[in-house]
Amino acid sequence: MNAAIMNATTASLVPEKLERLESHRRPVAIAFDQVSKGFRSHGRFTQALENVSLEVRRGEFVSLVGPSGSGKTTLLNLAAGLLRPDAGQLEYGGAKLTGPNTQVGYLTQDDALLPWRSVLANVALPLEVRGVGRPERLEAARRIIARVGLKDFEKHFPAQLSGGMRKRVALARTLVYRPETLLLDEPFSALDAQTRLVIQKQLRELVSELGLTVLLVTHDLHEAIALSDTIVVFSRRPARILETLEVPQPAGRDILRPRAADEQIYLKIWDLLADDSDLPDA
Amino acid sequence: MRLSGPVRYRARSVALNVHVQRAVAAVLVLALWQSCAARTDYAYYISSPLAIARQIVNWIASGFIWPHLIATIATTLEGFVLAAISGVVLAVAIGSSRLADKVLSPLIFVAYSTPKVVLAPMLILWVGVGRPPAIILAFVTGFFMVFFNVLSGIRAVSSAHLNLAAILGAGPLATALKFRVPAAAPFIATGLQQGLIYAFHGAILGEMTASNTGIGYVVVYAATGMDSTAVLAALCVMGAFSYVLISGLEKGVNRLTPAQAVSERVQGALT
Repeated sequence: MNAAIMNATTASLVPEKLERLESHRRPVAIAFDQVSKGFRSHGRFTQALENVSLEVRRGEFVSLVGPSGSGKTTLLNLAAGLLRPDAGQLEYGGAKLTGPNTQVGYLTQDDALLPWRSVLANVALPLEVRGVGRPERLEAARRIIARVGLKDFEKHFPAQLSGGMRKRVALARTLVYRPETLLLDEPFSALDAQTRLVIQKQLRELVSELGLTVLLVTHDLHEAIALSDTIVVFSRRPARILETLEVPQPAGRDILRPRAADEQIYLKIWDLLADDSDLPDA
Repeated sequence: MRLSGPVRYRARSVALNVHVQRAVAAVLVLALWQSCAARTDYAYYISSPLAIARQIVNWIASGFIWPHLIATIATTLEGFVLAAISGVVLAVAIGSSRLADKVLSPLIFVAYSTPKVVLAPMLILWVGVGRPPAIILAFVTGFFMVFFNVLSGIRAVSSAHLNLAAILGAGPLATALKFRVPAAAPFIATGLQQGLIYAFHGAILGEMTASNTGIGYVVVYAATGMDSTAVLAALCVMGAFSYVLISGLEKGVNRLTPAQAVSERVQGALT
């Protein structure tokens, strides 16, 4: 366990092995089978998800797009084991999920950095919780902090950092314990366009390097197309899956440079979302 | 950030003026009191600042006041330490469990809202007269201040941080120590601050009702002798003691939450 964490930032054999498998033959990481989930608040019941079935394979980058409030965040909370489905089955790594999923890293809009801890102490926190010794965890934290380009900010407190820097600290904290899967809930929506592109590129590189499985909720169709292997388009609430689109991502592709094919995928998603909406110009 | 040298200098001199004005106001009030006591027949009831000062000097010179003052300080601190430990531990434990919070907190609130002085006769029955009942009263009065302040801090921990703790696989103890307690640090500081002041009040209450030492006892003793000068002198000693207590606390509290203070100060500078 400790050895695995120590090597957190160096590519292991796993992604290479996966690379050789056809994507559809990789093992399933997360499986939603006819999952429904609703919430009661102020005496009213809201159905967030209805009979959603979705399989995410190991090493796959899946984006979830759809209208606001369509239950995409609920899907991530279910995958994180923070919520239980009302109906249906939810499996992670082939086993039914019964509590908080400690195999995932969850990055939300709110970066949830601890304001009383320095950058270094924030990033080392997951290893501290898991009982990794102080020298080892600080070493691992320093390495990943350098990897996201914040080497000179280890002693800073979150309040002293810009939004983009905080996001990168949160990303480093998420990666330091080497989760198998990343759950990302609109992580970059509050950033300016330029910072967002830089972090997106960094994320894509880290994900390929570490062979991570990713489930990304986003409203930014360009982001979804640039980063993912698969895009799942959701309907309005209660969320159903309208369509699942494959995005070819050849190795070595520069995500900052859009291709002609991207535009077609973009329009296709746009049409799907517009058809689902009541509004003429939504 | 825009506080340049001259502006800060002016701010400091304004603060100095405030101190001078405050002293002048106090002297005026005391002078008025002194003249009322001198020109009327009410000195028996209201004593006078000079008589009180003379009384305090006498107490110090004869050494009469020291054992009582030391008893009050010891009672306060012993009650406070018990209150601080049990208040923080219980609040963290109860606040960490939604069920325990729902079931137990209302009961503790009922106990809190009951006047503690009612306990005094029972305490004499249980532990006799002297410092023990006063320590217990100090503990009981201080405890609730610590408990409820810390509890609201523990409850206010953000759900994002708790979700993070869950995903990182933190157990109840790790969640409490690494997430809840640091987040509640400002509340804990306030709770300890108020707890100490209330423990002091509890100690005085105990000394007045069930003890034969302490400043509280001196007040009761003087009052039974209709000695208004001694009562007010004892009150002044208490006032001086709480002043020392409170100013010492503020320094301690600032030291207790350095990181929080830093991040808040920086946040303040940025916004």
